[in-house]
Amino acid sequence: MSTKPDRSTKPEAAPAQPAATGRPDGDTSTPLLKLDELKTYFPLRGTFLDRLIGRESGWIKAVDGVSLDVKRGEVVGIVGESGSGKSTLGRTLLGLAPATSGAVTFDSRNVAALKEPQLRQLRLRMQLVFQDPHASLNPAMDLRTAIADPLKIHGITHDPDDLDRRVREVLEVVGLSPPERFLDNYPGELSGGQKQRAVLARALILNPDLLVLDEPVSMLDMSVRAKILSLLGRLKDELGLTYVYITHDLATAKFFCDRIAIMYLGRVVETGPPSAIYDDPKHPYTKALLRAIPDPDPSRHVPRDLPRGEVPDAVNPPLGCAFHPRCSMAYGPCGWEGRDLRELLERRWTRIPEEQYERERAVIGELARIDMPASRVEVPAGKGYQGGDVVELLETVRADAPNDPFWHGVHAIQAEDGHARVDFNTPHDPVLKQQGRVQVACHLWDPELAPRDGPAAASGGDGRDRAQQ
Amino acid sequence: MTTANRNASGNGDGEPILSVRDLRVWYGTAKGAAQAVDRVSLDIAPGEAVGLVGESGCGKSTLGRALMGLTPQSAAHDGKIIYRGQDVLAMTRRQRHALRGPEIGLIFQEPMTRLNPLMRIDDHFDETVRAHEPGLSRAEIKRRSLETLGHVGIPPTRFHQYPHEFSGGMRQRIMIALALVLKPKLLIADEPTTSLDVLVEAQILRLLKDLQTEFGTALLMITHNLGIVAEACDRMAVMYAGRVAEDGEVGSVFANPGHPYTRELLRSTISLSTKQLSHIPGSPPNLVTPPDGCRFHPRCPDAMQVCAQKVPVATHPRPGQRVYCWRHGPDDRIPDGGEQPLQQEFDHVDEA
Repeated sequence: MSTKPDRSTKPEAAPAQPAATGRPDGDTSTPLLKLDELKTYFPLRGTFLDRLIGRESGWIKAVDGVSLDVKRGEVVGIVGESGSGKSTLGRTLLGLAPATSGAVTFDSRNVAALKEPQLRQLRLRMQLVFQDPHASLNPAMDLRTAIADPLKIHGITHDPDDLDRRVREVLEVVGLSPPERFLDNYPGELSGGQKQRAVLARALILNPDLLVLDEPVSMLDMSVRAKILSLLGRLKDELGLTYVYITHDLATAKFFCDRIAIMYLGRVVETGPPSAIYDDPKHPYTKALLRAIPDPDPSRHVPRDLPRGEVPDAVNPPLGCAFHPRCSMAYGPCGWEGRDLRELLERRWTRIPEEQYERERAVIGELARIDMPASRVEVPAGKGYQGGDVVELLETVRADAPNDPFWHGVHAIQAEDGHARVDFNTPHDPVLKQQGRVQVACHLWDPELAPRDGPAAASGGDGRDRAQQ
Repeated sequence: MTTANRNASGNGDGEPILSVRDLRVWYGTAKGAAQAVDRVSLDIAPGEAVGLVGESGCGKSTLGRALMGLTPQSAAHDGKIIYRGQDVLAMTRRQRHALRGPEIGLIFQEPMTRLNPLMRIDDHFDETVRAHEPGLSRAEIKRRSLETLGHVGIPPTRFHQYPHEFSGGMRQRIMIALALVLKPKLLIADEPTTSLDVLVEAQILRLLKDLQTEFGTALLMITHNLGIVAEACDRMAVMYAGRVAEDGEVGSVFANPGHPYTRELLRSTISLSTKQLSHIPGSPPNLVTPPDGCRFHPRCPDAMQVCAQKVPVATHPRPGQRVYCWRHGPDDRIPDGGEQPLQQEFDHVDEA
């Protein structure tokens, strides 16, 4: 889609802003938005003492190296659980959260490098719609004031008649018609769906090219979601918009998006067209997400093979593949480490009688000493026990559940003085590799690391290395 | 056909653990009395999982609270809630207090805010068990707590930690364990997974299902998500504007929705198999001045003249399925000409 379609239904474009005219119309090859190895880290605030002596207290790696192209007229879905970094990604590409490194190119300008005044001009063309329509409208502003506000903020017009005309037009566009019924309403007088329409109107009145939709329908009732999604689809076609659709909901993403990127802990783990991802998911995380969606079809059973646990802490992500602690397919190179051992023990201890737990717990000293992101840990022996006793316990644990993926990651267990030394296999970071119509970041699909009977071997090697990012 | 005295579910086997008969609950609001629950009748059999679905503001949470005798002071109620032969609404405060916990447990929506941030997990269990079984020894309380926590997958190593040290999913597991440690016969779960991620939601649903099979606990799952009902419940009741529109076996309601509201709700649900978006026009009515007759009639594509005049009565189009819709009759209660289609004056302004 090279040029914007008929704009007649749209409120008149903002009067020529110098920043908005550099648009290379007719250019189909360059994407409207391009993310290149984008990283957004937030500093952790340590204690007062840490700050006083300038001690580094770590980073939250909210977005950790994301590359993505968004073409004009496309709907690109960013899908992930909470804590996956999808909302931070949305904020970063609008320049609302500072990028730590990498580039966000919007219409050949690097958003990440722009200063606030230039960003403001660019934001005329990129707008954000938030998840919670109840919270994103000022309860003390009637719709007339709220929707006209962006025009005043950006200094486009202050003429009351012009403002009134534009607000009425955009209200019609989002289906709040006749406008006079809504102009003097306060948000409290509107239903959830009407509020979300008002939020959309406020974003559209600036005549943007790109809308970042951050969970636009998650807070709405089922019967209203479809209505707002249809509206968004219609507006996209009528106004020639481009969407970045951020959601945790794979079902709406499947329906709504042209392309999807599945995020986990700040990284894209799989990306491609919905047809490919939904029909034949490659990454174990994508597979798990798809299995987990409650299906409104009672003939389907409750899925049995669910990943355990939750999205880990982004301050100290797991070594290797961030998904490995929850992955049922994980094996040797996925990044096994000390924290996985602690989890393994704790999982076991939920299943055994209290007395047995007390006995086993006594064999091991302080658990905090193995609770670290390291490929070699020393498991301390409890009071009155030796390294050999710890090794014996670990071997019992292994014998009870030899098929737990964890044991693929253990290279050696050795008794030493006062502790048992556990060496794990070397962790490898997965990178996105082309696999058929999708790109997937998983060792199972990497010919150099995959087990011989893995899916990569089964599907042949064509094109696997072609598009390594 | 009237069903006031009939087993409301049409599911005749065994004495229900809980029977609701013609329950009404009003709230006082600035604009007048809001009928949050209006003549609801419902049965839950022992060990059964019942899903209560509806959009926000349909009265499902109010119903859930009322079942435990937890409606606010300002609310008025009428009708009967019979729990194992006793009327909950007629009980004294002390009797109701004894009921909550060991008999009927409740799991709230927001696990983040329901645990006391200043109390360790073991203290939460201690307090809960002691309140209802003061005679138990510390060791026995600990044994029982650890056992229940084990069932929900919380390791004993974390028994002495504070709520903030747990993730959202773990806190919801702890909430479930706190309800289960008293071994209730009925568990009311009010949107138990709404603030959780899909994977954690699936874990919690599976957990509830397992616990239900293992302990024979009956479950009332209040949710707006039809997918959850399909996955976790045996029977379901669909509420609209304070009334039950339809109830029955989950399989038969999904396969043959008898009420146009159920049908449209199923159609508008977006799932992985959705090919086309569909929605229900208009929005739910306010409960202060709800529409006459069937409360869904202003939005109903199938509405007839009678729907705007008379409140529908229960019909049983299929065994075990109860539907309140004039489309299913009874014909002798429909006045002459009542079957004529209703001219819908659908107002675009009411579009949600």
